[in-house]
Amino acid sequence: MRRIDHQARNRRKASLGFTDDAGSWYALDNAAIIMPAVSGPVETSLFRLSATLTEIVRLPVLQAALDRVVARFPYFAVELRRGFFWHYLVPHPEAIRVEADSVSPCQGFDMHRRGTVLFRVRTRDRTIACEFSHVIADGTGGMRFLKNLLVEYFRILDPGDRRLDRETIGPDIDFFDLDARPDPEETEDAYNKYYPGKYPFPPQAPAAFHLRSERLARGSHRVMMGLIDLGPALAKSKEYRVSLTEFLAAVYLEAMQSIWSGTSGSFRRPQLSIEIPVNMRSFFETKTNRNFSLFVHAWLDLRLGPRTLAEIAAKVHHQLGQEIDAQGMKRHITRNVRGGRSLSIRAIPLAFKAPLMRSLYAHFGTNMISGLISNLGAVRMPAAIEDRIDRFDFVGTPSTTILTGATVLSWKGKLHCAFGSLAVSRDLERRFFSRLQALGIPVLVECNFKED
Amino acid sequence: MPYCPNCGVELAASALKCPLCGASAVTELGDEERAARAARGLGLESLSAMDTRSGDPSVEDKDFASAAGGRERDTLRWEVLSVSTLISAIAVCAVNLLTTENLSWALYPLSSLTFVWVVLTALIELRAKPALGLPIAFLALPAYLLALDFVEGQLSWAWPIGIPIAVIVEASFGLAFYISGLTKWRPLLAMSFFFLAATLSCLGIEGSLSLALLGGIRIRWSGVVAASLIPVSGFLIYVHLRVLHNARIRRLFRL
Repeated sequence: MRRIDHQARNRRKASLGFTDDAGSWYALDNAAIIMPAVSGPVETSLFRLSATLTEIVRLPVLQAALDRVVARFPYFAVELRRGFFWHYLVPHPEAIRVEADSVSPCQGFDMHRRGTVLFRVRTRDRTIACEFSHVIADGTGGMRFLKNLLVEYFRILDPGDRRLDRETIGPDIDFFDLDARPDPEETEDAYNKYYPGKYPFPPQAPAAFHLRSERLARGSHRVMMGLIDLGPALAKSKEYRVSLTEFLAAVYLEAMQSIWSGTSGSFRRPQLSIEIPVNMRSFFETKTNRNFSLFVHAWLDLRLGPRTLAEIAAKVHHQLGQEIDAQGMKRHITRNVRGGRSLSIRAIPLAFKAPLMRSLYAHFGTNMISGLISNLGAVRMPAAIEDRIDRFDFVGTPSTTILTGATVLSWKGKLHCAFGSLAVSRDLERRFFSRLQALGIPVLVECNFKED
Repeated sequence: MPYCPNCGVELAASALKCPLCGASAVTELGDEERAARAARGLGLESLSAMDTRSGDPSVEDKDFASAAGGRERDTLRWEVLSVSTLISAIAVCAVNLLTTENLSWALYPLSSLTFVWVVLTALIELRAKPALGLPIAFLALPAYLLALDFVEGQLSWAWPIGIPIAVIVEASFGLAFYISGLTKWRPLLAMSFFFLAATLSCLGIEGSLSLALLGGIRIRWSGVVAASLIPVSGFLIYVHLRVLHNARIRRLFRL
């Protein structure tokens, strides 16, 4: 297998003034190449990161901040184009405008339409929201953009406040010098960079149980947001001797177990599997703001009988512990990258490749999982603006197969757990949040649908 | 702050009802009462019951026992197959009776429908009862050929030609399938087994035909097939043993 010299490639990019080999276009990273094929008007592949300020957002200031930040992140201001073998990205020729926010996040977006930028910034009242397509970034890259946007917003708002100067904030990978040129490493395909070559693939999981529910009307995306006290949640996780993510995954699995037991018919597959994204930057050094996360699974085989929450938590802890390490994650990288580097796959024209990718995504992606829980971790902001931000939220668009998925982050002692759903049924959310409440962890529940 | 009386969770200050269950919001609930209500909302009588059950008393062992396999799915498949076959058979008979006032040509599609039904039923049963499903699937084709010959009014070609050919072809490919499974579907080995099965089938077809029509076994074109395919099979086995012995079909084709 041909080795790619990523350092030489990055140096070449830098010398060309931050363009790709042939000028003004970008290749999709290894995780992104499948996204255009599997995305549509409902499964938009968007995820949303938002900040709610303590005061009303001032639109001209936000627009000015956005202009500055987009100039530092030019690789996000791009449109999708069809090539003969693969999709690729080209810069959007016009300025990005701040849009009005809507009730249903991450909907009303068609990445295939000419002129569609693969991210958008929306605002309403006190909220600034960035919605990114997974074609251009993962949660870490998106959060870096939002953080820089917020810092710049407050810097323009209070030009005299020296606490937000680059020198004051200090060296931090999340906060960029907006006057500097982008580092080519910020767009590198880190999957390819760390492709280990001849590694075995991870084992194939069986087809998993899926929620059965009528779908919401097209364009509707319900977000059930639970604000959970972090202290009691961490204490309970400690009681079960698991991490917070493992504890939440266990509660999720237990809720799914209950739903499964009340389901009948031919769709009652006895495997429950929760997909948990892992930030690969924890294992492999890179500055990339493109995708660089992979998935591990926590699962239950329900043919073996019901399990208590404590049993599920222990099982999840061991399953994740077994899978999450650099060597284990290299197996996942191998599986994802090897196909894309295969000459026989690359030689297939995109028109034929896209249906094949859809089929593989359904069979080896959504078919294998019952749900998803993505924990972005604790959000950190410069002390100067911490008090001016009320909350951060993170919402993903679930697939039409799993219908509902959970996304989590924490901010100032609160865990913000959002269930994005395309299903009419709220059973999963009800069981999940009620269970936390029953365990003595206070939960405040909100919904974006105002009739609720 | 408003609370949900069922789920026990706190609600947004402006909420009139719970977004999780739709219950009208109430105020003045203590922490313990909220936890207790949440537990009751999940169907638990007490908080202490939570970790001795799965969190929901509706989760019974019997629910899990019934999931040990796709039996329900198979039954549904068989039911759909049977109903659609029956409807087709009734439609064919009705058309035949309305146009000719007796059952004549409809016997051919009826034989075919019966054959398809028997084969698919056998395949559905294969997972649960392979000892029953395999012989049925194997015998279905000879029985079908016999039925077709019988419909024509006299047993002329089924016994001497049709059934021997069907048995040889089925046995050859069945054997190739079985041995490929035993060798874990290694791609080159499987291809060579199926080439050999095709060779055996051709020899069987020509042998049966010549025996029935000429009174003795004569091998001509099937010999050419055999002379071509047997070396190819040998080469594939050789390449497998020397080069690709660890290859798997799924990996080779990135399935």
